[in-house]
Amino acid sequence: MMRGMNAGVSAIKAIAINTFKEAVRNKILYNLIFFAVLMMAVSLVLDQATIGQRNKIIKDFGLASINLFGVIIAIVVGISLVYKEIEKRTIHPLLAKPVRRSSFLFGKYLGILLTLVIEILLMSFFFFLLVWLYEGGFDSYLLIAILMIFVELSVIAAVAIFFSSFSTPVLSGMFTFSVYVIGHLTSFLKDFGASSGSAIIKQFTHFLYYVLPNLERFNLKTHAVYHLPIEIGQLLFSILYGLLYIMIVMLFAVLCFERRDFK
Amino acid sequence: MTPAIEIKHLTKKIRSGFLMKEVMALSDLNLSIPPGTAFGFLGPNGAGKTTTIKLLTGLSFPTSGEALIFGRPVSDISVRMKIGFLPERPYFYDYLSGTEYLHFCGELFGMTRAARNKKITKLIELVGLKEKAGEQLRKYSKGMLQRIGLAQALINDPELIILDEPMSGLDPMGRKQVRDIILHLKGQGKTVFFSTHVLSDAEMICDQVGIIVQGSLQSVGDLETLLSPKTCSIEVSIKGVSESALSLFKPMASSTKIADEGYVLRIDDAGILPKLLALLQAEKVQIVSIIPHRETLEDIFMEEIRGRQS
Amino acid sequence: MKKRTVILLLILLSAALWGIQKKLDQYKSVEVESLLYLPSGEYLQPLSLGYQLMLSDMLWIKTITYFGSHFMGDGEYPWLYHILSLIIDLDPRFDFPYYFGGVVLSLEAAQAENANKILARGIEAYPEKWEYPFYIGFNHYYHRGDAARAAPYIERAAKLPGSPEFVKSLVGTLYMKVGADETALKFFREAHQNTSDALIKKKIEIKIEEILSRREQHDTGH
Repeated sequence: MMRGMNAGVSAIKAIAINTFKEAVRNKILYNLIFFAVLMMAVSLVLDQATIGQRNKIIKDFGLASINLFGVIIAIVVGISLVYKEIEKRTIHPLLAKPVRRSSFLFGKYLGILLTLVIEILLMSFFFFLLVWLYEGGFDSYLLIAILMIFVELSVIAAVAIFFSSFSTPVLSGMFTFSVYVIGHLTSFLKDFGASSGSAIIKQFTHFLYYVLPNLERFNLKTHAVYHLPIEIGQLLFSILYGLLYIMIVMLFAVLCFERRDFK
Repeated sequence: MTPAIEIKHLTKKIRSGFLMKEVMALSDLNLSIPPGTAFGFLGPNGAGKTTTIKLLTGLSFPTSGEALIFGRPVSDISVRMKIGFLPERPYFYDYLSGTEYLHFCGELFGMTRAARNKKITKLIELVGLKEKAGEQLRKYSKGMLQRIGLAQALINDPELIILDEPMSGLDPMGRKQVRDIILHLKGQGKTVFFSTHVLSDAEMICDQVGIIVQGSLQSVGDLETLLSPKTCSIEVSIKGVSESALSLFKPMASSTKIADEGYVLRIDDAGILPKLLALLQAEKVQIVSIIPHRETLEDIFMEEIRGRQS
Repeated sequence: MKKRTVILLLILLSAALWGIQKKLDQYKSVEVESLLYLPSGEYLQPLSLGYQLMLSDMLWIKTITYFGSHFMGDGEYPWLYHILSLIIDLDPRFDFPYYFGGVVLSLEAAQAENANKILARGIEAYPEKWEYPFYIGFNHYYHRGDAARAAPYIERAAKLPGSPEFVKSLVGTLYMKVGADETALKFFREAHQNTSDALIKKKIEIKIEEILSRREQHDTGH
């Protein structure tokens, strides 16, 4: 039994590291260059046009870009790295070994998270450097916003894996992107449903509110830039919310994946 | 003794196409393979060989029936500690080097670094990839991929090795290399289960074969008994023989053809071959070649299909 | 993993997730401020990446919920004007926000100035609609009793197609209040001629009578 457990952990670790290697060797992290170029372009433009709140704008842009680039990576990598294994049949020799299908999915997921962590760390380093150049200081509020961006990306990556556990990459991409967009609107939709007067719409928007991830919970960019007070309880519950959501989505992915026949 | 593979009433229906039409990919397969056997699973393309192998390796699930490996159901994950598997036309992570890929496979078995190092050195030697082991798999030829595939299948020192079309798409040199490795495994007393649609591959390796056509098993047994009753036409080519001498042999042959500088005698009964040869020697006739003509696997497949249709 | 274990875990986790959602809902405090950070329409237009119409629709829904929650609550609408002007910046042909802004901002939010700014944009977008100038005139007159500023707008409304007859007589009434009796008379007579409603005819006749008698007084006073 112990030996089985160890083999399972070893397998998950091996798959995670292999996934990260794939992302790196297939040059996924090259988009960091675009991030750097974008940030430099923004700061150059700001130097030309001095309109007062330069610090604010560089922070707005930095956080937004880290978020956006992260979302792109989470969706693209999340979908393609699972699908490719199935499409190119690299998963066949793997699953014929003592590797549970759930271990495969968790390994893939951890590999994608590792990729996201590295990506975010590098972007943040560059971002903080730029902020330091402008402000001459370190703004810890931004760190909290970036942490929450990472939670959001983790949720999106889990959703991407869930969809690609049973669907084609194009469809999975569309589904995941829709979840990302609607996920930012759920509380808004719920308010709308509540005031619409129609019971069906109200129930439907409530359903969306509880089923889709409420991604606005992880959006602390405004708080960070304006140094608005952040309640620690709210922050912790939001993180917990993200973790639970990830676990649920991954378990659904396992359910779908467990009985799948491979061509 | 517990059979290495035991298949009971294994049936698989597959839904495919836009309308999700149900197709019987495998119907009521029964098979028992004792340990230490080299078993050739023969059949034309699309007969259900790969379907069977996927059911054995847990890549898909049966509609009904069950498969046991060393007495345990294939759904039991611990069974896979004892299996090595090489898929059809294998494709591996092309961004890894050969060595890296084998390390990855070893880690999936929970092997320690030291154990992996030791095993991988041996395996790379065995499959003859010593010079290329450090290169990325994207630079490998088909034959090299097949050999690294064999190496990964052997990383856990399996008791049972399942190979799906291990020689398809290889040139004669590649076929020989793969065949030699399989023979080596057989020599170590491993059970080898492999599928092929080429008869000669099976002939040189197998103790036993099973023939599958259109999803159902036709016959199981050793190759000779399965094929021998239908393999007895023999062509004897001779040279430098006079008309008068020829009339001596002619009655023994079922047909006689004139070939360049001589004749080709065809006999249908292998039993009279020694008599014929003795006669030829006595008459000092030069024998150019003796070629037994056996039915090809394709003939057998065709016959089976015809038999099923009638 | 055993299927039953997975399903059991899923049920437990879902319940926990639901609880946390509920808990987090209690923290809603930045809701109103979130409107504060919407940039002005000038910047939002390019940022909408070609989806101006959809964005304006979404903002419109936001407006309704914003209005609804404050209508039931504090009755204060500090961001209503801002969000409405964003909507019409993004989609100037979207006509309902003009009515909504023109009426609600003035009557419910008591921001007649802002209401008229919205309506003025409405006139720009739809010069042929009589309602917008009519509401501007109405706002001037109702909130400030400023008949002099109201009259030209109501007059403009009266001249536009589709405006009901009472608007014309209202122009007369307003000019009468300002003391421009001649102009008032002109509008009353016009309205009298055009209407077929006996009751309105009667009322107009009374007004005309009033002006004429006032003029006589004025004349005899000399």
